[in-house]
Order: sequence, then C-alpha cells, then structure tokens
Amino acid sequence: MKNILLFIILVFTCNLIYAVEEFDINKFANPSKYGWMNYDERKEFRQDLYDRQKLLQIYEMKSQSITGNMIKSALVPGWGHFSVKAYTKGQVFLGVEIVLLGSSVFLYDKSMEKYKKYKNATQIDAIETNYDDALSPYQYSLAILSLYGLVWIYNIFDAAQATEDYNSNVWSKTVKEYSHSSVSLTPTGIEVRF
Amino acid sequence: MKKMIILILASLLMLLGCSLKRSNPLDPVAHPGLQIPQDITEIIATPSSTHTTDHWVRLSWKWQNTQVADGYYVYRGQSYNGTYQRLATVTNTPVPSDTLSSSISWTDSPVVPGDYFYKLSAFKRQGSDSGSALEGHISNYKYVRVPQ
Repeated sequence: MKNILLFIILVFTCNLIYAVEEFDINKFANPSKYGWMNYDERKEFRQDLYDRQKLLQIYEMKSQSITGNMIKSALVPGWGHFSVKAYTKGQVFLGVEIVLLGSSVFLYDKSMEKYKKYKNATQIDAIETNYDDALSPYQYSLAILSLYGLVWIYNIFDAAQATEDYNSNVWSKTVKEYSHSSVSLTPTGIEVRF
Repeated sequence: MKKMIILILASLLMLLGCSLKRSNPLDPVAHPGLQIPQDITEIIATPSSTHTTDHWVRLSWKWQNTQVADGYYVYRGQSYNGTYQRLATVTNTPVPSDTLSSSISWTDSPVVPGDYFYKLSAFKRQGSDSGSALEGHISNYKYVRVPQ
C-alpha cells in the first residue's frame, strides 16, 4: 500500500516539474499573437470586433429560420415562401396544391358515390358497372394525391432553399448597409479586414 | 434527383397496391361460389286482340331450374332506350320433370292500348339470407303493340 502511495506521489511530482519546464511565459505574454503591436492596433481590432458583432446581430434579426419556414410550408404549402418574400413561388405552390387536393377530393367523393351504389347493387351488370365506375376515379384520385404529396415534399425542400437564398441576400445587404469597409462579402466567404 | 425518382416510384407502387375492396356480398368476382342466374331466353309477348274491352299483354319465357333461379323480374318501359320500371316479381314454380322444356308466363293487365317494351331477368337468393338475391343479366327488350 505504501509503495503504491509513493509511486503516485512520484508520478504527480514529475508531472508538475515537466509542466513547469514546458510552460513559456514569454510566449504566453506576447501581445503580438493577437495581431496587434500597439494600443492603436488593439483599439482598431476591438472596433472591428464590435462591427462584426453588430452585423451578426442585425443579420440574426432580419434572417429567417430554415426549420421554421419548412414547418410553415409543411402546414400550408407556400407559406414558407411568402415569409421570405418569394411571393410568385408561394402563390404557385399554394395554387397547385389547392387544385391537386381539390381534384383528388372531388374524384374520391365521386368514386365513393359509385362505390356506395356498387355495395347496394343486386343486379350482376349493375354490380360490375358501378365497381368499374368507382374504381377509375378512385385510381385517379390516388394518382393526384401522390402528385400532391410529391409537390408538398418539393415545396418544403424549396422553402429551405428559398430561405437560404433569402438569408444570404440579407447578409450581403446588411454588410453593404452597415459595414465600415472592414467586413466584405467575397465569392469565397466573408472577409474581415483588421 | 435520385431521391425524387425514388419518391415517384414509391408513389406509383403505392398507387398500384391500392384498389377498391369488392365488398358487395353479391359480387361474383369476390365470391366465386355464388350461383348466377341464367339469361332469359325465348321471350314471347302476346297482346290482347282488337275490339276487346280488357287489354292485356301476356309474356312467356323459357322456364329455368329452381336450383338456378328463384324467380323473375319483369320490367316495362314506354320506349326501347327509356327508363324501365320493375313491374312484377314472378316466383319460379317447379315443374314436373317430364315437362322441363315448358315455359313460364305472366300477364300484364290491365293496360291501355299503345306500345310497350318489356325486359326480363332471373334472380337467385344467396345463402340463408332470403333478402339478398342476385339478379342475373337483364334481357333485351321485347316490343309489343296493344291494339284498340
């Protein structure tokens, strides 16, 4: 037991000595590592930092949540597009979805009307005719409903894309309006000059 | 794009897999064991003679075995492609085995003189439920003119 305790103390002491030897106080205290060499440069750096924070705050206020807009578009097709001012796309999605859903419901209703007749029919020709009459609009209704589902999924996907574009636009406008030429938007990303 | 194609294929598969259920208990496609009545043949329509006070139309057709048909429906219309109304239900009475080729008849009386179109069909009650009878194919119309 004593030997183990002694071994632990020895390891701990060696570790401390090694750590003290490795620590370079000059390197730690060197102010040039932050990119400034004097007080003016440090002040300028702080100003840049404030500017960037301000830009980010403005951007966060004006930008839209991608998840939020996707949920909006899932609830009401086109809502996400309206939120990011993509009115034409929003109207197209909303219109197409209303037409598709309306057609599907109309055909389903028509099909169920015939299906009810089929269920109550007792004459062999009426049974077959009513079943065929019910099946055709039912399949069209399903096909249109599938198309509705595809457009609905694409509408959500496009809402995310539109929000990304909108946010990118918001950032570039924010940079143009509020920056003091220290922050600029380049094709490769955001450039901050110190 | 690949995801889109997969989605379209999945939707089509869903569409192909869905169909309306044949839930009618009298549907021969869903229930192949059902007894379907045969078509009515050899229909003869005889009107009452001229210058008589009672006008009638006598219909006769080929009798069907009671195992095939429990009865017959008689329809009447004013034009060949117009609406036909079910006029009567004629019970299929068994006939002696030595007269299997005999016919069954029914008289529409009284009628006013004019043109009439008749159609006939046979029905067969299915199972123990006496209410559900499967009606077979309706025959072609039979035209008859009842004179004054």
